[in-house]
Amino acid sequence: MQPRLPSCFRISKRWARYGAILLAGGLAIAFWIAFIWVRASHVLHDSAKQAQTASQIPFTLAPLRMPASGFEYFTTPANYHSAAIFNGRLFVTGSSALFEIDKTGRPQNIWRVGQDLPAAPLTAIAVRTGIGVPELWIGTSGAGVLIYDGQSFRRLLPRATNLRSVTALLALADGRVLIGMPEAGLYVSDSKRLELFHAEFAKAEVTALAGSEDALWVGTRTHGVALWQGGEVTRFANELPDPQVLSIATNGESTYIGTPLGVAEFTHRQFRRRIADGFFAQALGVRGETLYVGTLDEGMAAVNAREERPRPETHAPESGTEPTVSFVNAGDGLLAVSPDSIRQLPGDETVVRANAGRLTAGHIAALHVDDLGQLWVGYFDRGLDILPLRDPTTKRHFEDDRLFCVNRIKESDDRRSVAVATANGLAMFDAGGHLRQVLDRTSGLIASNVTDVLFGDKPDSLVVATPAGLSFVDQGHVTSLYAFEGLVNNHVYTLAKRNGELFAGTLGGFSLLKNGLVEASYTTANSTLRQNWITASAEFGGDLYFGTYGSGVVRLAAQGRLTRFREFGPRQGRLEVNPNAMLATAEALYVGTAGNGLAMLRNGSERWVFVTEGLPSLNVTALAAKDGSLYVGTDNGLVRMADAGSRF
Amino acid sequence: MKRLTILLFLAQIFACALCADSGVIIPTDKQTPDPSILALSEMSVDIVVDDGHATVSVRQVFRNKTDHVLEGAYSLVLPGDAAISDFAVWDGVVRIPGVILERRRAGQIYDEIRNQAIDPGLLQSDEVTQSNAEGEAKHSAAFTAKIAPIPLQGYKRIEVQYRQTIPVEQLASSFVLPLKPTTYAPETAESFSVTIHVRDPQTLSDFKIDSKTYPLKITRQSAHDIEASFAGTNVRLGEDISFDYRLRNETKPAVQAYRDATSGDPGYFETSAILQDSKQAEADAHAPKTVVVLFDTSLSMQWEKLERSFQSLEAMLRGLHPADKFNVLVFNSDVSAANAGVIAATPDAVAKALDFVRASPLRGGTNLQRAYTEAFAEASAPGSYIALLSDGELTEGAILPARFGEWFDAAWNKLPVGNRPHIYVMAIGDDANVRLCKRLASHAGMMEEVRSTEPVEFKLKAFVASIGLKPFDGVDLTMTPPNNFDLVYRLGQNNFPGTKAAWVGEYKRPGAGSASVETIRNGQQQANQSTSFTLPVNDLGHEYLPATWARARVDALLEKMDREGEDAASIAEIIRLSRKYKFVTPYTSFLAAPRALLRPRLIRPGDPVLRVRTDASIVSVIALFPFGLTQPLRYLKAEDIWQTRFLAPTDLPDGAHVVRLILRDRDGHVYREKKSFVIQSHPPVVRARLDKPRARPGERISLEVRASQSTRTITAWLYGEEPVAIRWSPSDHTNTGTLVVPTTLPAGRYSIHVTAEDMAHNVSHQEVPLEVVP
Repeated sequence: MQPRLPSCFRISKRWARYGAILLAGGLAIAFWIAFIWVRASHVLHDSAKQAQTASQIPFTLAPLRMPASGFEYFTTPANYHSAAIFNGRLFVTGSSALFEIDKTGRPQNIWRVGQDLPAAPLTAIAVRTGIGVPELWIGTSGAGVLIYDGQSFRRLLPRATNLRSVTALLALADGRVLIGMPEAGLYVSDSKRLELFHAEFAKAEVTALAGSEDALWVGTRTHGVALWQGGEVTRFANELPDPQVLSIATNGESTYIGTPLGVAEFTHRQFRRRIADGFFAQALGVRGETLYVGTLDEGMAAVNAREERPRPETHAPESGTEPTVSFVNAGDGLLAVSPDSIRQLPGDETVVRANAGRLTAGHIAALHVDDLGQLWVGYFDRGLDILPLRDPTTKRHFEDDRLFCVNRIKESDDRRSVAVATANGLAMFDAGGHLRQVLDRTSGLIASNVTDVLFGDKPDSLVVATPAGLSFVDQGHVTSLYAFEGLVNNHVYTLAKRNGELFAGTLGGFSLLKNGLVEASYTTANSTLRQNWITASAEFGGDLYFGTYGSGVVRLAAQGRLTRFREFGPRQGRLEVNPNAMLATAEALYVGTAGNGLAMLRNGSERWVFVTEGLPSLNVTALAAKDGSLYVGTDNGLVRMADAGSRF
Repeated sequence: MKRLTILLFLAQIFACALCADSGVIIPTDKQTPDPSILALSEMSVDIVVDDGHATVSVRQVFRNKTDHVLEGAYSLVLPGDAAISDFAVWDGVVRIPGVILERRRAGQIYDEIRNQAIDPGLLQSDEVTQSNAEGEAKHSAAFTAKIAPIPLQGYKRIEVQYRQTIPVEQLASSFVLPLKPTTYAPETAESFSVTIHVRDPQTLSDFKIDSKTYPLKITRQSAHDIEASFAGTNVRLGEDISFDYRLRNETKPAVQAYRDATSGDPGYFETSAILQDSKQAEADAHAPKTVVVLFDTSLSMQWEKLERSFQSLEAMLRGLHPADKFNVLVFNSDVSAANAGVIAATPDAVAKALDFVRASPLRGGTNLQRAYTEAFAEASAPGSYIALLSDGELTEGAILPARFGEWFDAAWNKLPVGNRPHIYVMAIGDDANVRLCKRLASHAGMMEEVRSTEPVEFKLKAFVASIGLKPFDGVDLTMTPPNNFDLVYRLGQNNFPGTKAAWVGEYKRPGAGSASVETIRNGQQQANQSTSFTLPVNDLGHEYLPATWARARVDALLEKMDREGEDAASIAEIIRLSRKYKFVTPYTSFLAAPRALLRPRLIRPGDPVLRVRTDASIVSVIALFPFGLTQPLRYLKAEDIWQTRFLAPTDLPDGAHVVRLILRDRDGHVYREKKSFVIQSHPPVVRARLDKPRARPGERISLEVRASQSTRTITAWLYGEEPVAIRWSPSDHTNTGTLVVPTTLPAGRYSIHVTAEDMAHNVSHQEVPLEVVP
């Protein structure tokens, strides 16, 4: 028997049903509210997260690992650029290496670009402090930022390729580092995050940085200098001698802005005056009351900044007009960095003297190895080196008003002469490496700027390519032809021959010539060419290969069929082949590209292999081969490797 | 990195060949006129042709549409033998006229002003070139001047006047005002007007205006006077203004005079006469003839000159009849012949000769001595003609014009009198040695001068038509009383029947006189045309006369110095006349100070070489490139040029880019200049279309060609026909041309070859199929 409840507690079944319904409804509402709340929380959380990541730039920070290439490097001039004192040692960036200099002025460590560091020029340097272990940050042109902690390197590499070039670095007191870029603006990083410094600097073409978080000076290429102060930006352009800022130096309440036409002085963040009018102020340094102005063409000038009307005085005129590229404060002194030396100011004592290097310059434009075992190296804006490969201590250098800006080096089949094509004529050397004659327009060539040359079948006969057409030299007589006679374009870049036929690759396609007459021309309009601009050519395996500027390589088979390599390179064949950077050996066809390294097609293969690691630059400009060795010239140095080495 | 084709188009003194436009200002940082920056707000042209002497006054107002003060280079290339007679730039409401100064003095003032840090300007004719041996003067009519400042949102007014003699050949005369640019896109004048006034003592007829873009209305027309005008807004200057007319064959000479009684100067007169010939002589003109053409393929004939030579050659050969005989000698350092000797001028032979020339490569220098030696041997039959197509640049053999002239006289005179060939010369190019060519043509022949940009058709027609005609051996003027006339000079040398011979000279006293023109052939008088006149005491009606006489006098003095060497008295007189009558000579310059700027510089096309010519005082040049590169330039002493080379990033697009130059002189003054270079990595795109795919022999077909904006010239060629220039048609908004299918062309499938060439001489071809049906 069930106990009965008092009547006041007794409810009817109907009310019980109502209660159950109400309870269920309440639970449902509570659950729904909880669900909405949780969902909203997630959304808010996600939003915050997204907002946080939107201001950050994707990048990787990883230890730098450079696999051993086994390539032999030819040393180039140090070409010092910028310097910093790190861990008590002087670190100096050069075109092709980072140098750690000991107290005696000798390099204690050298990290070579391409070998130990990524294949990109080193452009800026700064010491990050305010953290546990100080770090040396090194900016590059195209390979992000390298971070050295005294033991090993790491690389901060933004995902976006346009953020990988650095022009200026500035370490802030709070441990962050500002990163100025040539086109992409100003960024800041603490190595955990990388973000735009401020929207005001999103597209700034940054050239120089100085100051601190309180008063930051940002120099630009075309819009003068900007002062960031208290969250506001003040811009100065008309006050400067020129809107292009080359350098900035600060000294207490004074700031100096260097431009191509002089220096502007700011005091207490206000424009004060212009000084050192007319000096190409590419570097500025201050010691005491003296402002040092490093120029490109007039050596160094010193200005007494205390004077009301300061007159720049040439500093240490005995040092000549050697450019000064940067200054670095070194505790009790100021160091002036020149391309091949570092001097201490104000005494002007040379504390570091760079080694000359095996090569005269780093920008290679043409290569050749002769039968005497001599390597001929033609430079882009210098002259010519002849290096005996068996004797690394000697070289002969040729350079004068006509023998510089080299385009091509070719040796005659009979090995009696070597032709060096330059922008100012065709220099003819004998087999012993003695200059015999320079041919130019006054000698009958259609133009003095010679882009390529081909020795004819007859003795003393040459075909000369120029931007104005072709010239044929035959035993002292010169004849020329260009578009009037049917050449597809006047601007000839490359020459090739096959079975008595001459091929002239031009800006507008390539022409086939027989007996000095144009027989046919191939262009995008009448063939499968995808690019008219033909830059290089070589015969390989009976076929002719043409390099183009923008569409990789095409092959002209012996039967006359033209084939494109669609898979050439990472951009589906859309690659730039450098002028005359094409070489065929018995093993392989090599192609130098603009920015994508060395392409190689092994004999019998249809698959291109790209060599990028181990090269001093990915801009491969010249090639030569001899006795199983391949010489690869770039715009930043030269290496020797095995011809079609097994590692490929 | 990118190797590139770079063109730097600079309006500058030493490289005027590219600046072939009739009055444009190119902003300093641009390579072409840019109407979005500097618009041509107004342009008015007044053309007065008085008895064959044209005076052209051009006024232009340019508007700076930017918010910056601009500077730019004004460029003007004159037609034919025209010479600047006035030049002025307005600075606000102030007119700054140009003055003529002795060249050395002009240079000194230029230096002084520059040392005061004021931008001076030197406007000078390009008459002395280094290429000519021993600095002998040559004629070239290219003028440039730096114009600065052009105020922001303001105007700059420029006034130019030039004079030109219009020859009369076969009783016809033609005048061309070059407006169509050859290197830039046509400008549009917001307001454009032109007036033409032609007056002549001879009776005028068949006045015809060829220009379609400018529908000139004839407002007055009488036997001796014609006036026409046009005014419009937003006029695209894409066509030259040209007109031609005929003169009635009047036998009496005409005499014009000018005298300013208050000046103390003598009076000036001009006597002109249409040279008359007998009917028999006219009939003889159609007799079979032998023509030997000397075709110059030396290196200096590259580009336009070669094209124009070939066009002339083609017209000349196709104008021959099968009964005529011909040969073509292609010459440079050597001579090679199209045929072993003169052969009948059949169509096949002509075609083969043209192919031979087209296949002839350029080479070496110009050895005119060797070429004429061989030509004399071939043109040995009576009634022979030697036609020279060349710029007359002597670089081999006898290279001094005087010495070569002596040799030529002797060689020509050595031939039997009846076998002496007529020497015809087509002087081609802006830098042609006109005086040498004139001297050659004085050997029973004629000379035409064709600049690289002016329309060649009329001159070519006259040149070809006169081959076969027999010129008089001599044409003499006798003025009576003889002691009243002094320093009388012949204008032009054309001795052909139907041409107008003219002389200018001084007269001492007003009063009555008579003139007699006598023509001589084979030692016998052919005609004696005479008239009487009264010389006025005061008559300022023909104001061209004093300056025309002065130029003729200066030319005579220059020729004398060519022959005999320089003398101080002649130079002093040249300078005096040049300053008084405002024309530039090899010894004088036009100085416009202080509102212009000159820094001579030359940047040649190259790849990728940047070359800059500067003042001698400059000791350092640094180039700042738009992609951040800074490059010091190297001084090449032998060439007096600064040079560097650079690689542009691969992603630098085609188009104009600015490089900044920082120049420092030996006194430490620093100059900043902006120069533009063009990356032109693609030849012009050409798309041609025929109005119909089939045509019958003799039928006309229209060709429509669309081409890239950078395109400079378009030509179309059908086998057996002369190339046809395809020109811009404002009404069709495209380039159009008409070809005629040769009546002799057999039925079949052919191709019309369309060629487009841009400013970098990049060439694109397209073949358009054409089916010829019977």
